[in-house]
Amino acid sequence: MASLMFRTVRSISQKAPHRQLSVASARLASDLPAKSAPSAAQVPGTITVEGWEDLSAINGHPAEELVTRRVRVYQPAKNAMQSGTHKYHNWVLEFDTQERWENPLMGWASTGDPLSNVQVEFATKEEAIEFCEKNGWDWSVDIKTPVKPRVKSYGANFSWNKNTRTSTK
Amino acid sequence: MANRVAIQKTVRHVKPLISQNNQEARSRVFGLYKAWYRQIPYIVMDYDIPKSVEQCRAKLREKFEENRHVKDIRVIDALVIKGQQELKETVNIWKQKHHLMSQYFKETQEPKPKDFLSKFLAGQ
Repeated sequence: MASLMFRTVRSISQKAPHRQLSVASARLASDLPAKSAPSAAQVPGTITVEGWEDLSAINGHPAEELVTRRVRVYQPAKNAMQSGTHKYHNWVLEFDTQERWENPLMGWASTGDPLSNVQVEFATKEEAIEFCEKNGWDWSVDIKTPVKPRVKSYGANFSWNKNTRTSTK
Repeated sequence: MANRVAIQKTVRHVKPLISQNNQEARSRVFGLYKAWYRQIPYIVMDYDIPKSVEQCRAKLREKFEENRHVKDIRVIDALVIKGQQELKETVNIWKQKHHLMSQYFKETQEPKPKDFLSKFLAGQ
């Protein structure tokens, strides 16, 4: 069902050297350069950098995780009960499932993957993508298909022009 | 996605960590390398690890070469700071013998299976 509910957008880049060129993310307003040319009025004591930082060298992750891990960015589904929706507007970043097994005797679920329970929340998907790009992770974004709420009205069952009971006629 | 825009290689002005330019960052890297290089005989003696000074120097070189591709001055500075912390921890004997052996030489670490059959045999 997940494949029906979500449209998946993947990062085009597969290899790290091309990552910087094909990064697709909207920028935050505060990070955007000033409208004038960058060379104009550089604040003393600042340095000039190009593109995003590549933090993969200092974030402490093992090097092989850069190629073997994939990050999924999605919006969590709303609780089906009558809870509020306050928690469901965030974008959540999580890693793919690895090193998970079931205990053959008791059926306990186990994992040897320290990133299995990591869920990072972001206000927008662009922030999440930017975070992935900075850390050098291969990411994909699942976009929720907007569901139009069905009008549920008892009175409509007796209306002459609303086809609410077509299946029973 | 309509609102996705291809990243532009924009130029930004940002605060440096320490170094103001490439030459300064480079000299910091060389300074760290030399400090490690000079300490290695004492480290080998103090920790009594089953490695020779030459092997340790080769490992030092290897560790520096791993980050050769890094171009961002701030990332280089961060790496140098981490390297200095490591050196301080090592020289002050805040580490123990197995820290050095497991962190740098990893002799007891089994490589992860890569091809299909060995992955299958390892239960993956």
